[in-house]
Amino acid sequence: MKNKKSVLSNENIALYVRSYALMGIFLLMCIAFAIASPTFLTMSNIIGVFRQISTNGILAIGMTLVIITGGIDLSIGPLAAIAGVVSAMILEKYPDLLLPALLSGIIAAAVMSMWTGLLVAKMRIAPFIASLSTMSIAKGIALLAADGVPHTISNAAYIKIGNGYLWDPNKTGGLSIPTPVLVIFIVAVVIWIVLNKTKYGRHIYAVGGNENAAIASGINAARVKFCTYVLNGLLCGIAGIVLAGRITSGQPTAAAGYEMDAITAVIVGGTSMTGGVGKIGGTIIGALIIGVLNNGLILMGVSSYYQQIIKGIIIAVAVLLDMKTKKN
Amino acid sequence: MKKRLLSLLLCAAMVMAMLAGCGNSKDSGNDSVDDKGTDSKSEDGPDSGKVYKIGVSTQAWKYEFIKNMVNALNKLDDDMDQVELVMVDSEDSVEKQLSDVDTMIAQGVDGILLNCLSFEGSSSAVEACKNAGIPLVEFISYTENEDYATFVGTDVKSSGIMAMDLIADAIDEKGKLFEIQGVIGHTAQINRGAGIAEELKNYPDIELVESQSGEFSKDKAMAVTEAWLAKYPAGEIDAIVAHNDQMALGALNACQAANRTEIKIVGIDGDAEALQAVMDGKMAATVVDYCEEECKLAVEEMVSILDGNAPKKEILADYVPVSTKEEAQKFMDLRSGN
Amino acid sequence: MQEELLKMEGICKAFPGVRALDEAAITVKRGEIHALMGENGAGKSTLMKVLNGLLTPDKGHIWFNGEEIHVENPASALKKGIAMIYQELNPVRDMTVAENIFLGREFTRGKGIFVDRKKGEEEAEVLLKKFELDIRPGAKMRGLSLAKMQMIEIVKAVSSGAKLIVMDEPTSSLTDDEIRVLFKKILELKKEQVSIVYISHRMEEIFEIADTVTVMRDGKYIDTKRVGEIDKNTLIHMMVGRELSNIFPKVPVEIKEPVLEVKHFNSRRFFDISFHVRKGEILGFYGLVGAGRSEVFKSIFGMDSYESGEIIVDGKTRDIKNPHQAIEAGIAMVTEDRKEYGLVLCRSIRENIALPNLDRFAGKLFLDGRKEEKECKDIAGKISVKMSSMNQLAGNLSGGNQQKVVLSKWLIQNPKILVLDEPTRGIDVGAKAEIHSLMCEFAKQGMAIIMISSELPEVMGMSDRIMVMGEGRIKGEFRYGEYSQDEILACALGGKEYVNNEE
Repeated sequence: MKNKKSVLSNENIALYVRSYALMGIFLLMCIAFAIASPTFLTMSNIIGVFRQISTNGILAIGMTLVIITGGIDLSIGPLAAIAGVVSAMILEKYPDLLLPALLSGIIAAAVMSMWTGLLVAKMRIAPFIASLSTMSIAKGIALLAADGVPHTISNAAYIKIGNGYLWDPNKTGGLSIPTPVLVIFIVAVVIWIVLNKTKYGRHIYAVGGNENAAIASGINAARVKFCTYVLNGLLCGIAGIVLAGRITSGQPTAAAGYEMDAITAVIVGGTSMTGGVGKIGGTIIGALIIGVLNNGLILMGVSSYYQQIIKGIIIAVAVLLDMKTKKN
Repeated sequence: MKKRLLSLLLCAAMVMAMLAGCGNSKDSGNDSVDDKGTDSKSEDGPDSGKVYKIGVSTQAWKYEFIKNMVNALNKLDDDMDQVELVMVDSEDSVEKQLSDVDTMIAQGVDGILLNCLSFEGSSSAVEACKNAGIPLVEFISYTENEDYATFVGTDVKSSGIMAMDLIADAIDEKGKLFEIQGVIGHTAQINRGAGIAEELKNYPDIELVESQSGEFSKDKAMAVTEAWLAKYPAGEIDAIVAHNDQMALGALNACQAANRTEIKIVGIDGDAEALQAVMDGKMAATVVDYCEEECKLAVEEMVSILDGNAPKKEILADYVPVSTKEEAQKFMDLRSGN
Repeated sequence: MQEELLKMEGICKAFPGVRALDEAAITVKRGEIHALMGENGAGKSTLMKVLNGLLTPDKGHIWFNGEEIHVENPASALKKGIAMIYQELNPVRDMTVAENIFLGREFTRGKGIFVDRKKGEEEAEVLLKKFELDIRPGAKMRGLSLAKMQMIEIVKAVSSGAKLIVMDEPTSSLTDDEIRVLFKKILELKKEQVSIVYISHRMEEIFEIADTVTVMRDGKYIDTKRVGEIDKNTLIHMMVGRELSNIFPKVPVEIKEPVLEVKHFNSRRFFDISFHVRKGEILGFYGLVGAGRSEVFKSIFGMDSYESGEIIVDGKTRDIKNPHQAIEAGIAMVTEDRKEYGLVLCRSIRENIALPNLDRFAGKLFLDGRKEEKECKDIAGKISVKMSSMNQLAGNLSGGNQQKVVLSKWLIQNPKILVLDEPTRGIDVGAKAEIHSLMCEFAKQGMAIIMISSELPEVMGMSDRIMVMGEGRIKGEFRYGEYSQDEILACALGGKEYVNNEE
């Protein structure tokens, strides 16, 4: 499907070349920004970039799973918002129940995503439309639950999830790991294991690559799809918690429009929109490319007008280069 | 498409019903009551016992600012005996707003208050009211078609001017200023930005170092501020002015995380969170859009027109600067009372 | 005297790996009903697609109505007077009868800007009257029966001034009464000097209606005869032609007890199917395309549903609703379309082979990658899949190797019953022979093999027993060596009049 033409004798080599090509693009960008702005390579800025991509990175990891199954989920923004709103509101009432509040938020997002899973897997509605429906419903529920206003989070531990560090950076000369980076690291490792080391992971690739063949191999494709949307919902919930911690409030309109950033990260990361092919590592690099691009352009003081144009061009160039190396 | 889908989906329908239910709870039953009201009015003359039925179409209620406005109007409805307000949520759809206005005209309201969604798009509502001979008062936002009786609102640009003055106060009229813009091309971004730029000229010792867009989002404004904080060491940033409060709060988060609390931050809107931050001394100031006052002026103007007085064409309310604990407390109380 | 209307000569057309047409030819006279016959894949439809402009020939000439023509596309064919009615009708179902008849050549007014619907319906009315069809011109196509839709197609062809109408299996979905009506119309058209090229597998229809018959085989022109000059057996012999070559490595294997029994199996697509297959046996399923063979086995394998009947594996009745249950029962199926149902082309060979076998490699939580790699590699080596590494993408393999990967994925679990649907279609000769010898080896190991094939030599060369299907029913059963090819083809082609050898 991907490679009609004859390919390198060793597929392994081709695959490595591909992932390195993406890394190369990323490093080139970093070098360019480092030359253009001395601030770029400072510790605090690097830490800042990692922190900034954490929400989008977690969302993009979930989106990778969905896109590998051949689907798409447009509802991730509102799902993340629901998690933030639900947890913030529970904490408002019961300030001591941090863990239950966080879990409720994550579960609320997962439950919402069951709707998409049901429509896609059982009713066979196109994922684009099914998730559009969920997006609208989730948006409404988030606003309804929050009564339309942001709910401030004052729980210090919650705020630390978004803004804190593993250890105090001032004691180690600015070197530390932000909590959200730990979260995305754990999420990435777990999902990588799920994709590569479990039956379910294989099923995801098979269903996305060729649903009919998967079914003919005894796989319950509908269940695989349903589970994938729900898993994505869980990840949206986690992303929503990180975001809420970062902006110190549960906002019903938080993460609006984030689905596009997530999809961009996934595609730049080399995942095929037609399904069956994709890697977590690629997605992380994709998210980093977008994060570095945003950060670098701000550091260079590029006007907002140009930023949008440059972003559009660089995304196209990254994908084109990636496709080129894929072909050779 | 979206409409059809929603109608298909039970759950969605439920949500819609709930939303609609909440929105209308206040006015439920007005149909039956009001037929009488209007009838009696035409026979009686202008005297104290009469009730004006006034239709109100607003921007989407999901925004905090519009919610405050709706709450204020509900309160006016309760407090003023001579008016009965019929409020409809346009849900951010110009089309719905236009058909809502048509419906209200058909219901036979005495006057219409319009908080229009679109400068151009909502203009045909003005035409519809004119043809029906129903007085129209626009409030907070206005249409291209100026055939309305009166506009009650603020001069958006003045909020930028006021924010700039608040910044100047906070840093003693000298220092390095950073600006976080709204969504580029958005009316609020253009006008608030213009106000800031205009007023900046009056402060020769304040230097505007950089402007970046935070897209009216707290998260994005945080990322912008973090980049600045990395780029400019302590002492090189004196103040940040943001085109709305959410972005100001995002900048505040970033500054607090980086221990750069010396930076003065000013926002615009008067969100509850921002008012709280001013009370806590974390934000230097915010510019409050006193929509409660505007709503009151709008309703009063409508009553005055219906009583037979000439329309005033334009009534401008002032923004309210909030930079002290007391001022912030006043608005917090006002709004939490709803 | 009848003059020649169409003459196609020396038509060649090659697809990757196949010579679909090799010096094919046909000559049709004016006002003649000309049958075009041949086995599956003989090249009949391909030849007609060339005539209709759907395919461009590599070589060859076409004369029509006295002049040499080049047909670029179906529209230009229609303009020249060549109309085609496909087996799968494709009218615009939501448009009216009149709109369909005049589709692409609508009546207009106002200098050709507006469609004149009224005029269209009036003209359609006249045409429908002429064909004695009781259909309103304003009726929607969707509401019509298949037979009526077909009539509309014919009306459309005639009204566009077609001199030659090609009908590809026009009676395949018609009832007997409807066929009568169709034949009446065809004979009327003949009187009006319209020529018909009639493609059908139904022998009796050919003898009833055709004047002339041209036989094709393996993409080549074989012969043209007046129908009066030949009988059914001669015709079948012309179609089969070749002698059985001894290229099949069939070895005698001891056939043991039955392992799969299917009783009175019914669905919308097949009726009352009963058969059994024994350990070590290769059971061939022969039939013409559309006979319902694949459908039967898709249902047995749980990919499609069935209405009634019993599936018994090893003496136990099994209720199979999905492939998972079939696999658990010990049934494996190599489907006809390996790209659609057999392989995930964008994934590696290893992943494809492991796919139905993940339970074997799964521990409590994780897959045992080493065990997976080893077992997959072993099986792929055993049946010699030619590949650069186990990580090569399945989509980059040749057809034969892809088929071997599909075989590998089922062989790991050592199924009791292996169903192979067209196992050698689109595969080069060498790989074909390899797959045949693998089949023999599996049978020797005691597997029961069911091979569905449309290739008569393959079925005859490999099977211990042959079931012949036609029109969704089992038409006959033959034992190895107890039949001639003509008998089997006659059984597959014919209706009930061809007595089968059962019992």
